[in-house]
Amino acid sequence: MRTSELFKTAWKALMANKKRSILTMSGIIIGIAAVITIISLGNGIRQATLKNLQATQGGEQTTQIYYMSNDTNGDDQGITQDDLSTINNVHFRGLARVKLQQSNEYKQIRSQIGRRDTVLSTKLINKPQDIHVVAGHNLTSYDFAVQNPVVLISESLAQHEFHSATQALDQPLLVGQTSYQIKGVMSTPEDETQVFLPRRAYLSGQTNNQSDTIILTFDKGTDAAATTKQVLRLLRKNGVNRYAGTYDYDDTGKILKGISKVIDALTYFIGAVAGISLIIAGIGVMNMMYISVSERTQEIGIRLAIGARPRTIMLQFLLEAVMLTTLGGIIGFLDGAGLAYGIALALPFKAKMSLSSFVVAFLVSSTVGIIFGILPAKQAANKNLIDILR
Amino acid sequence: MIKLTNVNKYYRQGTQAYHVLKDINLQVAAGEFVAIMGKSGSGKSTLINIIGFFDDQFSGQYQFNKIQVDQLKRNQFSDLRNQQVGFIFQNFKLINNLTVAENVGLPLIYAGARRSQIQARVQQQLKAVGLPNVAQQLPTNLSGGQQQRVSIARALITQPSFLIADEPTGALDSKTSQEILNIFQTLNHQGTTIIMVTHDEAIAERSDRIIRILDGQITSDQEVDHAHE
Repeated sequence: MRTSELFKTAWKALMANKKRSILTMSGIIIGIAAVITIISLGNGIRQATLKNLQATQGGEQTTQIYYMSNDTNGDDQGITQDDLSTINNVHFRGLARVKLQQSNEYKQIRSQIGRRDTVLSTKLINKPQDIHVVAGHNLTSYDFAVQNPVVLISESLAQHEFHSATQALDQPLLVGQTSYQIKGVMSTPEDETQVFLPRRAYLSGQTNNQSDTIILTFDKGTDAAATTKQVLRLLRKNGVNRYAGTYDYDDTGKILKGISKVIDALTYFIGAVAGISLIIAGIGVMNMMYISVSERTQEIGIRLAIGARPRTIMLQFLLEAVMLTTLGGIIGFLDGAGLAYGIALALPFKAKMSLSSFVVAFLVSSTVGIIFGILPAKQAANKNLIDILR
Repeated sequence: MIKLTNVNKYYRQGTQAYHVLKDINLQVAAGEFVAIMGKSGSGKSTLINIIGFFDDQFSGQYQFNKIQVDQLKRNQFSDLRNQQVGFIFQNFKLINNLTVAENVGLPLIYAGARRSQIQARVQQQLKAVGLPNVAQQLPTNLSGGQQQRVSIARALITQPSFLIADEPTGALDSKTSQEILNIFQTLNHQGTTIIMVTHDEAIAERSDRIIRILDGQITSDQEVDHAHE
């Protein structure tokens, strides 16, 4: 028998008892719709979460590599413009931009004060600070505006280097190639910051632009973690200050993957609970098929008598079950998708439908049809022709 | 064409075994019109079930043309039923939710044909049994005689080697019965082999050869002398 005829025969049999077919199908529809709704919403939550945690507004991902001096009092500004060139000279897949991060307020900066080379705890400031000045003058808005090379130092540092606050005034403080004049001495802050340095003056004075952190920006869809590791390896091998400190990075991708996994697991767990209804629906299908087989004993006998093979009869009844559940699965998918979108209207994220969830609905529903249809179909095929026609 | 040698058949019902057919030896040649007569329980239905490839549980040899039927597998029995025999039942055995045309065409569908290819053949067959205008009706809308004609059309559609009719007139009035028998005689004159089971002497007289069965054994096997009619 041709496959197309087999399909037509099965379809006709289903249509011959529409009401019963639809009732049986509704179980599958409800089951699949519930699973699809939950999975779509779960995917939506995951996507929204990842978007918020990871990517820039354009959907790009960023990672950070930071440098730490081996010496706890050492200079952490160990990543230089040269390192950026090194990175840019190698082509990394998906790496869009590399730049030094200059946002840190507190820095350990190597400086020369008096005649001594030392690393000072420095705070980069953008505007005049409300502090108590014990000698000299506080920095003014004008100083910031014209990027005057002037600094404030703490009283303890002044005493340590120049024996008194007043003697420290107008002395030079050398950072990189720039000489700053000590304009005032402040009472030592609680966090023991030693130098207050105007940020813009500092940045413009840095010929050898340095930072303790670089930011890597990746194109959408890149495996950011893997590429970051490659960059890290390059820096460990060729970084300018590789002997004075270590490079490392926070694997935010790993954390995000973890979060994503947890959301997935939750989604599938709830989906599986909803999927239990599919088993109940499957039993309904089985029940209907058994009734159908016993009602249609005569028909089965006639078909066998005029030359249908038992296997063809089996396939016909199996196909009836599978068509019923698969059609239910497709309708259930559409219902579930609609329901998920509807629910998502009231939620702060969008439902996410994917081809894979359609495929899952399709496969699960037809599998339910096969599992719960095979026994009734076998019973139909194994009926004894002589007993039926007696 | 048909040759049964020492065919025996046992039924097992609970703990008791019944010996339904005892050493049946029978030959039917192509073109014959045979009637098998016997009371109910005599084993005549069991015999035609074996001849018509419905029953594969028997002992002895059954040779059909050059095929050794008793050695075939279950699927091959299906193919023989489909291709070699047309079965006509007392109560017609039509599928009531299929149209007349679909019923008649069904054996061809199981033989591998497409629904669209067989329309002309189905029409022609219905015309041959005198039912040109009922193709799209459901069987339940037809009279008993018409339904039996439909089942004859279905039996003939694959152009089988022989027809088996199991009490074909049992559910019909005498006038309709005569019409059905007229169809059988016409078919037989055109060369169709027919094996008919009946318990009605008058019906059996219309055949050319009467085989009588009693308690699972053939008691007589005679030519019908039509000269006296």
